Amino acid sequence: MRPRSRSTVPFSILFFSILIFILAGCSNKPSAADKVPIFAKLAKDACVVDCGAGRYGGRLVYAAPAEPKSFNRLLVKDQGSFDIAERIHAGLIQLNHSTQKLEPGLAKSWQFSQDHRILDLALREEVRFSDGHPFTADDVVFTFTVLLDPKLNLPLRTAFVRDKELLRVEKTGTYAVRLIYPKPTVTAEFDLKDVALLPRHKLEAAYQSGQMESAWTGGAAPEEIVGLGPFKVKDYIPGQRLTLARNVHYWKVDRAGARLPYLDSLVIIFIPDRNARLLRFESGEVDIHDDLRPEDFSTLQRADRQRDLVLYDIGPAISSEFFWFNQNPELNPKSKQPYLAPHKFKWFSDVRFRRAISHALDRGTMSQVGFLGKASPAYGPFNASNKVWSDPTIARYEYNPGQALALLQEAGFKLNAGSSLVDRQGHPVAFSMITNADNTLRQKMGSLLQQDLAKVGISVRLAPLEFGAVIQAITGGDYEACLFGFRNDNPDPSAQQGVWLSNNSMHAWYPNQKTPATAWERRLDQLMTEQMFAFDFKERKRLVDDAQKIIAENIPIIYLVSKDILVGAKRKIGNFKPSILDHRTLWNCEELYWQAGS
Amino acid sequence: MIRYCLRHLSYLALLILAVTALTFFLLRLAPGDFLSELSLNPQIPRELVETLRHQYGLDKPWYVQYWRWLSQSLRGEFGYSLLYHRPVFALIWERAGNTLLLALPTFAVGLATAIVLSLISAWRRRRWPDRVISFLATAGLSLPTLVVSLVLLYVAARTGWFPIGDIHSSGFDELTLLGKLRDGLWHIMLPMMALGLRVCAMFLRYLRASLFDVLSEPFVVTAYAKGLTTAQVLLKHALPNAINPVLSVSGLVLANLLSGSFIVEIVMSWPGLGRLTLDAFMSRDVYLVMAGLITSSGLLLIGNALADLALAWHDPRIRLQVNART
Repeated sequence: MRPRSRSTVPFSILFFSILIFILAGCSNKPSAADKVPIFAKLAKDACVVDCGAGRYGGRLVYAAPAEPKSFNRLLVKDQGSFDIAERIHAGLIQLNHSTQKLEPGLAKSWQFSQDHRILDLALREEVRFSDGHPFTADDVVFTFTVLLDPKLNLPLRTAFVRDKELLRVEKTGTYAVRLIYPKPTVTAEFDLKDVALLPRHKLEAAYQSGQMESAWTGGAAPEEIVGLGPFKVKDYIPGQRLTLARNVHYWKVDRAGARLPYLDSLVIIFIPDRNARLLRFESGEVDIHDDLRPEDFSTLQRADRQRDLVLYDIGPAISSEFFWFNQNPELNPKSKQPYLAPHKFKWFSDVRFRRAISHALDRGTMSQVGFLGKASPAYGPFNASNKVWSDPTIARYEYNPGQALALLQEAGFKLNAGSSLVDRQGHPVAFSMITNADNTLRQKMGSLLQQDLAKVGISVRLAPLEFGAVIQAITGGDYEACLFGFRNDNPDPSAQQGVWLSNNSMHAWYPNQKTPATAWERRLDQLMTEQMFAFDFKERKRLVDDAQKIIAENIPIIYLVSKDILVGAKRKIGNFKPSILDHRTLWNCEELYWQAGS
Repeated sequence: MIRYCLRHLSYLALLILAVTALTFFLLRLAPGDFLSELSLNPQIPRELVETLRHQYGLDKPWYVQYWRWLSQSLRGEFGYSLLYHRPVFALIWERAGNTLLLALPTFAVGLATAIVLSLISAWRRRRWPDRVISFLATAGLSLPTLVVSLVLLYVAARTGWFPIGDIHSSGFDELTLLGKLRDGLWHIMLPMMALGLRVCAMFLRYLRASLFDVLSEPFVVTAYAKGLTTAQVLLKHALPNAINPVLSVSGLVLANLLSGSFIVEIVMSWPGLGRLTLDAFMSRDVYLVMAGLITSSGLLLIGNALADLALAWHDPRIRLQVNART
């Protein structure tokens, strides 16, 4: 009835699809691994890194949850892009994650003027960008021109503006730059660590034509993306992986004078899902995992694979989990009603109530049960992991339900017949606590907190919301209490400035105050402002310590626990120094190497 | 014919209009926006967030934003992704290839398997091979793609027989051509099984029913009477006639395939359109979401058109009808 050829239709479809498949597979060029790296001429002022001598070669695979949105470090607004941009760029000053101290980067030395307004920097000479173009003071001036451009709205800009007055940058020599600050700035050096230097020869045209934002996106040709970091972009396949290759012009050497980086390439694969990331690490395909959950950690500890993996518990993160009560006494402009019921405002603004709550919480059990022991109690904004700024003498609220009840009674609360707590007017003490639903650990912590407070007769209703809804509730002032945590990788107190200044929108418990609502908030404003102008470290530390004591005494934010940073890596990775600061494992990627026999 | 096409196209335009407007509205209804996460960073001042919100037009009501987007899209400017600062279709283009790379072979393999199985069914009609195949088809149709994907992923994780997600290994660039082919096939197996089960089951059900119909036609009896073997009858006479209804439902199967591929891509981290669109949804990257929706609708349209063409090409009656009408 039909010609024979017709019945072969499905098979030709099959054939063509296989062909498409093969062709798609071939579109990626193969590359030979260079066994003996050929470096370009070493910079005159090479930086000597104090690290163990490594071996050249090899490829390290890292799994990242998110893809880079831009390769321009200055434009970056998200963690994923930041982590990658930091590998291909470098700044004038760098942060050593082991010591949490600043070290020379592309500036070999710097000097402040007497009044701390002028900073003279001497640049490393004869350094070259990853494309071989010489790096000079012109690139630094260009970088700051871009950074300070009001049209670009760059997140880092605010650090260099005081009262609408801008930082001025002058070239004082081929390898010398002068920064003139509008006001003396105590964090000047610290702010510079985030300023990645941009190549003027590559980006000036884009900047002049207003194309800065679209210049170094994921669609850019790899050879256009040029930096001073240890690696450079070799190949980017969106949705799959980014291959970074050694920058042969890199300006660091090890103690023996051998050029860095040791690794030939760094492959970053993108796996959004946590569980998939863990599985790929377990299967050995991924070499480093630096965001293990406590339960993953114990599973891996038990697994056989532990023989070639090493697991590190590198201690609590510098940021903590915390909650706070809404203390906003104002009227909601939309509904003309107060944000909080008046009796609840009375509870939340009573420091005895907050202290009692803090005493009623069993932070030890929270760490043990909620985090399988991989967390430690936290009492203030700078915990022990913040090596420079933590103050161990601040008030701690040990677990003591008896003392909590005593404090509550002192504040006029009492337990009724049904052993639930009521205030003077007979209102039962109950409140709702919002938190983001996507964080399971936080929810676990919430239910432990609920149990603890039930013991002193307080009923807490947990309301896990979608992330966006939590933010809407906080910014709209429409909540009673909020359980939350920030990912903060900046140990300097200036990073938390917004939270503590009472006129700031980030002042969580009562934002945008016209005048400080309480005496201690006024004092806190004073201390936090003063510490920004304290150029003597001891003096600054004293001011910050005083501020911490005020915070701990008045506990507007009730700190709960700091999660431990849990990291796993292949045993054969040399110079592996995981850190609690971001980036936890790749911060010293130029030093990492594969040990013999791997 | 032209009028028929135009009418269909106008339906489609209306549909896209409704879907995009609804999506805009729903995205607005959900709390937060693209800048919510940024506004939570203590180191980024509120003023900057507000400036950006104004710059991106996110401070306007949704219908104003929608109208703005629509009028620009009609002029061919689909906008830039807020997240990636790139034209949305450049991003879509990078990913659409991966979705097709998964969908086309799945479609082909699913169809081929269905043909073989339905022939076995027809050959052993109402006996145990037919019963088993028929049961499998029903099972395949009733199992949700999500469950199948998860089960397959679990098996892969426990046994290590298959890679867990992704399209290639991380060391793909260093493989030889043959190695690349093997790596690619090894990676596509699992998502193809998860996605193909349903496709195969759908085709199988239609094909089996259609084959049974055809086998009771007089010309089959004639064929047997002429002394042809069962194989000859099935392959040469029954199958070509039975395939028509299958071609006409292939548009439907394609729709199923595309919606299923969204799930499989996300569960098995296949870097296609589905994952891109989900990410865009999660970060409220409005214009990218829109582009993703339009592309999916477009793929569906093209798929349906191809199915119609295949049918016309295969069945002379339809071809003649169409020619007669125009």
